Amino acid sequence: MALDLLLESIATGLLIGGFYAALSVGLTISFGLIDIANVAHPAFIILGAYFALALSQTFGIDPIIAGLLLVAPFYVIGNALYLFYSNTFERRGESSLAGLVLFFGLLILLEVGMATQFGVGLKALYSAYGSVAVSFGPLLLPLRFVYSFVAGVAAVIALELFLSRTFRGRAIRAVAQDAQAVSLMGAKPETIRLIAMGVSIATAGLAGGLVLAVGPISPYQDRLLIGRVFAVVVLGGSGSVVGALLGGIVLGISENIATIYLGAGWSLAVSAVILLLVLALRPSGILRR
Amino acid sequence: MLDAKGVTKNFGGVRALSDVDFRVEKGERLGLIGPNGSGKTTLLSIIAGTIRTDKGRLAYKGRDITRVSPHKRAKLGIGRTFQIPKPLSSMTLLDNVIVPLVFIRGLHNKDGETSDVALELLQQVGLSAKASLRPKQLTQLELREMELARALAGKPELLLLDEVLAGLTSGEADDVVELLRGLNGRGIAIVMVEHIMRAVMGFSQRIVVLDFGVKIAEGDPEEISNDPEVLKAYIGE
Amino acid sequence: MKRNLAPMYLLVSLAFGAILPVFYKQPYFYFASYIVLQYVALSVAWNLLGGYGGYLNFGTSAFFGVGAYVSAYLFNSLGIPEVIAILAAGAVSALFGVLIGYSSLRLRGVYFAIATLAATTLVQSIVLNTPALGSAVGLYIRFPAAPAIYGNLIELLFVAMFGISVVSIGLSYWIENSWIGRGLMALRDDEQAAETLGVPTFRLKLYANVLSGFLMGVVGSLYPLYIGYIEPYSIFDLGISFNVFVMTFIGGIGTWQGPIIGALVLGSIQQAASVTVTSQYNLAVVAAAMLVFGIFSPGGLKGIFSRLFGKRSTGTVN
Repeated sequence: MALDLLLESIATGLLIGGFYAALSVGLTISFGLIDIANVAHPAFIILGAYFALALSQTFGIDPIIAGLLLVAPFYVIGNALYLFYSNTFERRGESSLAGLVLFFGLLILLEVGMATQFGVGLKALYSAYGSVAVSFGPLLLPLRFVYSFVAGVAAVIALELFLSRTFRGRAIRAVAQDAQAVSLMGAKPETIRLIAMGVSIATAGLAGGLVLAVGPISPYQDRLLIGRVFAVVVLGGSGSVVGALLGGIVLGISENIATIYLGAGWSLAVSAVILLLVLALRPSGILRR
Repeated sequence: MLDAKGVTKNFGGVRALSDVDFRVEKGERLGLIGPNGSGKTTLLSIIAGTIRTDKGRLAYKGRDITRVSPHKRAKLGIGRTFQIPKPLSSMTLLDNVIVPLVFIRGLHNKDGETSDVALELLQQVGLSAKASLRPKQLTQLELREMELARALAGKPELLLLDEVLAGLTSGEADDVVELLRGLNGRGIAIVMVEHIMRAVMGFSQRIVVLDFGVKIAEGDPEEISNDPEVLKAYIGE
Repeated sequence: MKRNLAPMYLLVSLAFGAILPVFYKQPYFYFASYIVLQYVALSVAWNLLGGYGGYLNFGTSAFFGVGAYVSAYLFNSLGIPEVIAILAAGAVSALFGVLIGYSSLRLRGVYFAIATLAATTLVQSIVLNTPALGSAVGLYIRFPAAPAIYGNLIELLFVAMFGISVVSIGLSYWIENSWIGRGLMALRDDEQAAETLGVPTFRLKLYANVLSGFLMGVVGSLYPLYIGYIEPYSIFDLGISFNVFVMTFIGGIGTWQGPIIGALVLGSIQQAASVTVTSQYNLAVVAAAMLVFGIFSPGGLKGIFSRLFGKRSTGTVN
C-alpha cells in the first residue's frame, strides 16, 4: 500500500514537474540568457491565466488552447516590456539592479491591477476533465495534470528546438556569451534581446492557460509561484532549457514526497529550501556547464 | 615570485586556457603577448584572483594562492589594471584612489593625510588637476590612467597591466613606459599585456606568447621576434 | 553635520524622545507615530545593505516577522522578561541574516534578492506548521502590566521605537562615514574592481546584512506588544518588504538621510489616510511612486534637495 502511494506521488510529482518547467522556461530565457531578472514573470503567468479564463468562458474553449492563443499577444507584451526596460534603465548604464526595481514594482502593479479588475476571490474554470482521474497501471493520475504536463513538455521541447535550430534562437543563445559575435552574425544584439523577451513573456501566456487548467486562480497566486519558478531556473542552471525541465521534475517530485511525509503545509517550503541550498552549494545548477 | 602551473579555464564550451605554465621572477619585466582571444586577460584575471582556475595551482612567494580571494591577493602585493576601466562611478577620482589606500595599505585615520597620498599618486599619472571630478566626466584615456594610479596605490610587488598603453600617442606611451621603468627600478615586477609591439618588446626582459589559450613560445624579445611559430600565430590570423 | 557634534545630536534626540510623553498626552499621536518610526528604523536598517552595498533585500518582512515571533513566543508563552525577549529576537534575526548571507551573498545581487524572497516563504511556512507559534490562527499577546514610567504602554513603546530609530540612524551615519561605508559603496559601484583594490566584499556584505537583520528583528520584536495579535499572513507579507524598499528609494537610497525622509513622508501619508500597508490601494500608489521616482529622480527626495540647494551640508533638510 505504502509503495503504491509513493509511486503515485512520484508520478504525480513528475507531472507537476513538467508543469513547473513550462512555467519557468520563460524565466530561463529572460534571466538565464539575456540577464534580465524579471521577478514579475509569475505575475504575467497569472495575468495569462485570467485572460485564458475570459477566453474560455466567452468562447467555450479548453484553457490550454486558450493559453496557446495568448502566445502571440503576450509576445508583443514582452516586446513592449523590453523596450520600456531598455529605454528607461539600460540606457543609463545601470546594472541589473535597476531592473530589479522596475520588475518588483511591475509585479506589485500587476497584482493590484488584477485584484482590482477581477476581485481577490478564487476563480475556477469548470472544464470537462477538471475532476477526472485516469488510471495508468496501478496509479491514479488527475487528468488535468496529465494534459498540462504534456502541453508543458511540448512547449519546452519546442523552445529547445527554437533555441538550437533556428537562426534567431541561436542568436539568443549567443548574445548571452558575446554580443559582439552576434553582430558579426548579422543580427543586432538589441533586436535579439527584444525577440528573447517576447518569447519569454509569450511562454508566460501559455503557462497561464496551464495554471488555469490545473486549478483555481487568484490575483496573488504569483507569490506562490515565485519561489518555485526561481528554484527551477537556478536548480537547472540559469539559461538551460533542458535544465529547467530537469529542475522542474526534481522540484515536483520533492514537493510531493514532502507532502506525503511531512504534510501539505510544507510543500511551499520545499522550493525555498532547494533554492537556498542550491545557491549556497552549487549556484551553477545540477547540470554541469 | 609567481609560479603558475597547469592553469586551465573553460567558459561554457569555450576553452580559454589550456594547461599553461607561467612564472614571474622577482623584479622582472615580462611581456605577455598573443593574438586577440588568446587568453591573456583571462590569465591576468586568474593571477589576480578575479577568476578561479579550473585546474592547476598558483603560488606566490612560495605560498599557495590558488584559492585565495582577490582582496587578499591585493594585500599580498598583487595589483592589476583592467583592460576596460572599471571606475567606482559614485565617487570622485580622488576617492577612487583612496579606496586601495584604505583597504590595502590601511591608511584609515586622518583623512587629510590619506588624501595627500592619493593626490600624489594622481600626480604621478598626470591626473591631479581632475581629482575632484567624477569618472563619467573623464575620458577613456584618463580612466586608464586612473586604473594605473589605483593599482599603484596598493604598493604592489607584482603589477599586472592589461593593455595600459592602448590609444596613447607614441609620446604618451613613452612617458608611461618611463614611469613603469622607474617603478621596476624600485623592485616592482611588471607583467605587461600589450598589442603595441614596439613598446612591449622594448620594455620587457622576457616575453611569453599565448595563442588560443596555449603557451606557444617563451624567451627574450630577440628570440621571440624571430620565432616562426609566433609569426604564424599573428599573421595566420 | 560635523563629526564631533553627532553624538551630541544623538543624545539630545534620545532625551527629547524620552521626555515628550511626560508633557504631550495625545494617545492617537503615539499610536500613529509608532508605526511611522517603525518604518524609519526598518528603512534605515534596510539601507545599510541595500543602499550602501547595492544588495536589495526583498525579505524585510522575514526579519521583521522573525523578530516578532521570537519575542512573542519568549514573552508570551515562556514568560521571559520583555527586554531579554527583544534582545533574543534581534539575535535570532541576526543569525537568520548570517544563514542567508552564507547562502547568497557570495553571488551577484540578483541572487541575494531572490534568496530573500525564498527565505520569507520559508519562515512563513515554518510558522504555519508550528502549533507553538500559533500556526495559521496566530498568537494573542498578553499585555504586560502598565509600566512604572509613563504609566501607559503605548507611550513606552513609542519611546522605545524612537530610541531604536535614533540609534539606527546614528549607526547608519557612522557607517556611511567610515571605512565600512566606503567599502560597501565601492563594491556597490563595481564589485570586481573593489576586490582588486583590497575590499573584503563578502565580509562587508555579511556584516551589513547581519546588522540590518539585527535591527529589523529588534523593531519586529516590539510589534506584538503594539498590536496585541500576530499571524503569519500579514506579518510576512511581501507588501511590507516592498513598502520599506520604496520608502528608502523615494527618500534617497544610499544616504543616511534618505530612508528617514522617505519613511517620514510616505509613512505619515499612509497614517493620515488610514490605509493598511498591504492593501491594494496603498500598494498601487507606492508602486507608482517608485516607478515615477525611478524614471525621473533615482536619487529620491534627498537627490532633489541636493540639486536645488547645492552640495552644502544638508543640516537644513532634517
